[in-house]
Order: sequence, then structure tokens, then C-alpha cells
Amino acid sequence: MTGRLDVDVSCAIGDLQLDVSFDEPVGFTALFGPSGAGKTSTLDVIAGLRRPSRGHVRFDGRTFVDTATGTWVPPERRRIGYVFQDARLFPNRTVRGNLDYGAPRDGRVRFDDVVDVLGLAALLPRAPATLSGGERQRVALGRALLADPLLLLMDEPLGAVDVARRIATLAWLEAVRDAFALPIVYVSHDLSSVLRFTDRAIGIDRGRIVGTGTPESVVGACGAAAVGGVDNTIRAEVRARDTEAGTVTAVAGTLSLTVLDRGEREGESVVAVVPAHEVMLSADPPGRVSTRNVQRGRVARIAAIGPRRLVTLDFGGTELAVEVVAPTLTDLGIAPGVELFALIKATAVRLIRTG
Amino acid sequence: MWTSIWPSAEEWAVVGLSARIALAATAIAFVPAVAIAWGLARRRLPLGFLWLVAVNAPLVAPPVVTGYALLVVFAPDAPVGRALGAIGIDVAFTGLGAAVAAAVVAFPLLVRAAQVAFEAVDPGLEQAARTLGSGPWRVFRTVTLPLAARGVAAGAVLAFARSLGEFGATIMLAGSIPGRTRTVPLEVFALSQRTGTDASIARLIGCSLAIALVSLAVSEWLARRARQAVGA
Repeated sequence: MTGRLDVDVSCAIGDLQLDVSFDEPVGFTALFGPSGAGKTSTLDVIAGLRRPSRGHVRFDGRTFVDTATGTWVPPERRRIGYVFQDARLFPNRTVRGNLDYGAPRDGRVRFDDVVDVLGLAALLPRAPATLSGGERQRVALGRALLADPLLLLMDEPLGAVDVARRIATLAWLEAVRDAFALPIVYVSHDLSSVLRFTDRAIGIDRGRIVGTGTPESVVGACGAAAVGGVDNTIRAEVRARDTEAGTVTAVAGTLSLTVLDRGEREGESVVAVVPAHEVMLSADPPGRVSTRNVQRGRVARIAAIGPRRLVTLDFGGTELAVEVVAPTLTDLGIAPGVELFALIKATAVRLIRTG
Repeated sequence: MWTSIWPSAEEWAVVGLSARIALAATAIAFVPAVAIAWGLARRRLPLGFLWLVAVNAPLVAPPVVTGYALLVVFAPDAPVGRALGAIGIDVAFTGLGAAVAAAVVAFPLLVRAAQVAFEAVDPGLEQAARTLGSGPWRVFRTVTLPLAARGVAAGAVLAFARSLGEFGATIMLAGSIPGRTRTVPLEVFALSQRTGTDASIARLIGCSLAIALVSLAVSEWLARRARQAVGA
């Protein structure tokens, strides 16, 4: 489900001068940029929590604010759901009380569906203070969904959670995206989640839009501002266990990863976290190397992130992004369709059980 | 011995009158004090600093001066007093006057406690409530006030305790009419002008001290719970 979001606003926020202008269809769109770029302020303007000094915000033909005509729709009448980075659950209400807070009687979103999709049943009687960071985010997401919004804003939903929880949270986000068919603007400075989950991106830096389009192109346009590593998160299944060597082998598509055994069982579902900069590429079959995993894949696409290049290899439907510097592409003749060997150290991969 | 410690029926009547007037004073002060406290906490009042000074003036002005100012406003021959008298509301030298005098003097205590309570409520929660479809008034009723409730209640109890002990402003505006405006402090003063009243004075002082100290304890307990509620 998509809607068109037309934003052209200016406002001063402390030291930051926000001059943001874009007119984009919103499906699952990332608002991407470094810390302090103005991402949260942009969401605040869209939601109506901050008044722009000039400009307009329109969504699907509805004008929320237009300083030229003096139009102002207060946040409570915009039907924009907002999942804040710090969740902002009401501390004096239980999880159920929080979920119920904004739910209209005749909303399209059903309580049971939200509880189901987000796995909140066991949390319902609990107080927010007793929840973990990831649980709070899920409740905040459920609360926003139950208010029956037409557009959902999410501010760094992965900010407050560790890597293991991040995988689980991303799974919830995917489930929500698929189950509730809502246009979502997703704020992040996390490269991996932007590249993996969003279908479009808006790049922002120092209060200005630096690019819109596919996530790859926007991440490229963000250039040096787009700091931070890319983690591959690959759904895999544990196939073999070598107790003597102390390793297990997880398989996804034609990619097989032999990694340190941390007690995973055969047949178990896991997510393999592979940092893109920990993988080496070789144009020819390597000789005797220490790397446990040498896997042949085909280049699907190449994206630029400033001086870095992200080469995505395909292994029978499973994708693995590998980070290299630009000259490597010419030296190895890397282009879409070319076959390469990926060298992945056993100790560089972390398996997270998803049970 | 027992009869000399336990207050007489007349003394209970004075304590009862004091409690009723203090309750009325707290009720009169409550809504405007909470409104102003919210305005000050959220910086929504124009000329906020002047409000701050005006609201807190009774805290530092001698109560007799406050009472005199109230008398100037509410005297039957003053414009406000005459207008209220025309619709059947007499303030000067009535029980209502005693409550008004106590309300004005206790007002700053309630405002200050409520302001601190409102300031402790995260504005981010109010923003979240707005995005969930609540207008400003519903946000206040369902988020701000419930989260500040214990602190506001602590202020109300404190205002009640202060009203019980009010003397100067009360005697200026309401006089010292037995059975109508003569509260415990005024009765103690009246008794002290006569001889042979020491036991009666002691019993009245005992009663008022007991109520005041219990109120203070309740207020402090509420304030502590309030900090826990917001910190959670």
C-alpha cells in the first residue's frame, strides 16, 4: 500500500536549519542519514509535533500544514502513527492500557490481530517499567497500529536493542509491513536494515535532502556521511555438527557457512550475522587459505557508499553483501553476473537462534 | 483526667468549623491553582513571570496585608463586594469569607506543588498521546493529570493544613464570629484574652497540631509516591 508524501518545509531547530523538500510515494520508505541530520525533526514536522516556519506537508491529497494558506491540522487529527525511539509508553498504564489508549471503537485494526502479529499476549498485564527495550518498542508499535493510522512513522526502531534483539525486531517489522499494509516511513542510520527492508529511501544530511530513490542509490548519495558497517542477516538452517572440530554448518540457498559451535542443534533455524567488511573476495579459486568457508556466488548488484563499494553476491536466492574499496572492482573485473569466491572466516560469523 | 484531655462539645464544634472552612478553602483554590500550575510548568502563560510573582505574593506578604487587600475587594460597599451581594453572595464577615481568605493564603503552596508535579511529567508522553488521537484537553485529563495526580494531591493536603492555621487574613476579611468564622486559631486567640482557659487552649492546640502533622505526613508520603510514579 502506498501514499504520496509531499513535504517542503523549513524550520530552525537549535543549531540545525532544516530545509527539507521531497515528494515521494511511500511504501516502506527509509529516511536515512547520520546522527543529527534532522531525521527525527522531519518526522516531528510530518506528525505535527513541530510547526514549520515555512512550507507544507501533504499526504495523499490531504494538507496537514501549509503556511501559505494558514492551514494547520493538529497531530490528533492527522491519523499518523508515530513509534518514538524511546517508545514513550504511559508508565501508569499496563501494556493492555497502552494498547487501548488510542484505539477507536470502529477501527479497521483489530486488537487480537496486533497482539498476535507482535506476540504481545504474555505482556498484556505487565507494567512498561518491567519490559525490555525490544518489548517496549513492540508495544509502542502495537499501540500506534491500534490507533488506526493511514501512515506510520518509526524513529530508529532498532536503536535501543542489541544485535540479537535487532534480528527479532526486524522480523516483527516485516510481519507488520505484510499484515497491515500500511505506508511506513522508517528512520534509521543503520545501513543493513535500510538496504534489506526498505523499497525506497530518502537521504538526509545536515537538514537537507541529499537523494531519493532506491535504497542503494540513496545510501550511495549519502557518501561519506553514511558511516557505519553493513551486517548481513541471513536466515539459515543448521545442517551438520562436527563435535570434534567444534563447528556447525548452517545452510541458506547454496551458501553454506561453517562456524563455531555454540550449542546449536541440527535442524534448528538461525540467523547468521555476517559483517560485510569481514568477507574477502577472490576472482580465482583460492589455494590453501585459513578461511573455513570458500563459497562461489554470482554478483547481483553493486552499490556505492562514498568511497566504499557494496558488492551483493547471490547464492541460489540467498544474498550476501561484501564491502570493498572502489579499485577492487576494476582489479578483479567485478561486474553484475560475474562469478566470484567469497572467503568467510568461521569466527567472523555469529549465529542467532530464532527457534 | 480523661475529661480534661478530651475536647468538649464546644471545642469539637470549633475544630469541625475549622476543618469545614479549610476544606472549602482547598476546594476554592484547587481548580485555578492547578490551571495556573500547568500554565507555568508548560510555559503556556503569557507574562509568566508576573503570574509567578502574583501567585506567590501571599507567601511572603503578611497575612494581615493579604486580608486587608481582600477586604478592599470584597467589602459590601466595594464594587466587587456589591456585585456579588446583588446575586446573594456575601463574602466579608461570613464563613465563605473565611474560606476565601484561607484559600488565597494557601494558594501558592498548592501552585508550587502542582507545578513541580507537572514539570516532572515527560512532555514526550503528551506528544505520544496527541499522535494517538487525543486533543489537548483529553491529553491533560488522561495523561498529564493522572501522572501528576499524587504531587497535586500532596499540594492540596498541604494547602488544607495551611488553611487550618490561617489567622491574619481570616480575621481581616471574616472577623471572628463565634460559630461562623471563629476557627481554631481565632478561638485560641480569643481564649487567651481570658483567664482560666489554659486547658481549653491546650486541647484546641493539640487538635490542630494533630491534624496539621497528619496532613503534612500524608502530603510528604504522596509527594514521595509521586516521584516514584514518574520515575517508573
